[in-house]
Amino acid sequence: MKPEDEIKNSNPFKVPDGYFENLTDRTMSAISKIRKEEETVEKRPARKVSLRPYLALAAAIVGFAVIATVMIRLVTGPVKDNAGNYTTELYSDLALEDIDTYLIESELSQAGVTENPELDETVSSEAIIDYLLQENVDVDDIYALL
Amino acid sequence: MMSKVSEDDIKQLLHTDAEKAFRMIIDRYGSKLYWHIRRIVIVHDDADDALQDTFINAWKNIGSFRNESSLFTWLYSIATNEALSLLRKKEKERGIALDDLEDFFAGSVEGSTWFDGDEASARLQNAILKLPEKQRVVFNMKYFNDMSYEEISEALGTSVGALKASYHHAVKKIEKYIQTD
Repeated sequence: MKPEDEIKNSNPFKVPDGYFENLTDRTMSAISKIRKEEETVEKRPARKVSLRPYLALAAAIVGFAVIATVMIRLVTGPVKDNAGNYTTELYSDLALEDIDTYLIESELSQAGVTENPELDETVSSEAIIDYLLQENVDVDDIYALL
Repeated sequence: MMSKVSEDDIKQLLHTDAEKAFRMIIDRYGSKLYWHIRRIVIVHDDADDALQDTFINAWKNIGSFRNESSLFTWLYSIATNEALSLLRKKEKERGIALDDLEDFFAGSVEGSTWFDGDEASARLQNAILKLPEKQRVVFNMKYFNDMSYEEISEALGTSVGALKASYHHAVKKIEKYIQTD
């Protein structure tokens, strides 16, 4: 063997004992750690992070509104309307249907429409027939219905 | 047992059980890559860091590995880049220019805890460390790892002609250094 081959084949560097025996396990352990970190980053919902301050703000506003309402009611008590009635008492016993009925009646009243029993009786059968004929309803059908 | 598994078998296994395949890759090439890196960075701890980074980068980029390429040269390419990157990082940390690194290492080789060579080996290593970066890498791959110019060309992305020239210059410089030292 030539001297230069001896140099080539001799390895002057040393490694710690057992270095290569543990290399695969150590490396796979490092890779596994990185994989877990990457999976954690991928699973973390980005929107949740960005919405968190807004949710906290909204919760604070709602909480403040509830507390403020309770405090105002405790301090001021029931409110009277122009007629001297307690507004809270006036509407507290009314169901939603009653309120709707009241509102419809009041609108009709404002439009000048009132209940008139005599008005119905003034509409004669002839007037109804005339109206239906004007609407091109067949004569036989009209008399069949009457 | 691992030597019976061919590189093609490992490539196939990468598609079905990447972790198992990667274990085989480390078993098969870990030692060779370590020595390749070690001859560039010299210090064991640096070589270990660069080797770990080599396999981590290989794992991250295994999806971009082309099956028609050689796994061996692909890993050598990553290992070379990691080793040179580490050298440049050291250069910044120590404030030493890369061209002067051989002076730093030349003093450290023989005094290194993990160096056990005789005088001839030490002189050769010092001569190699005097080489420019590219020539040093090419010389190590050709002389110590017995890689063909084609394999080195694929790993470093350099033409075969340029590699032959680099190796020729490296040998001449080493001979001159050893004769005059």
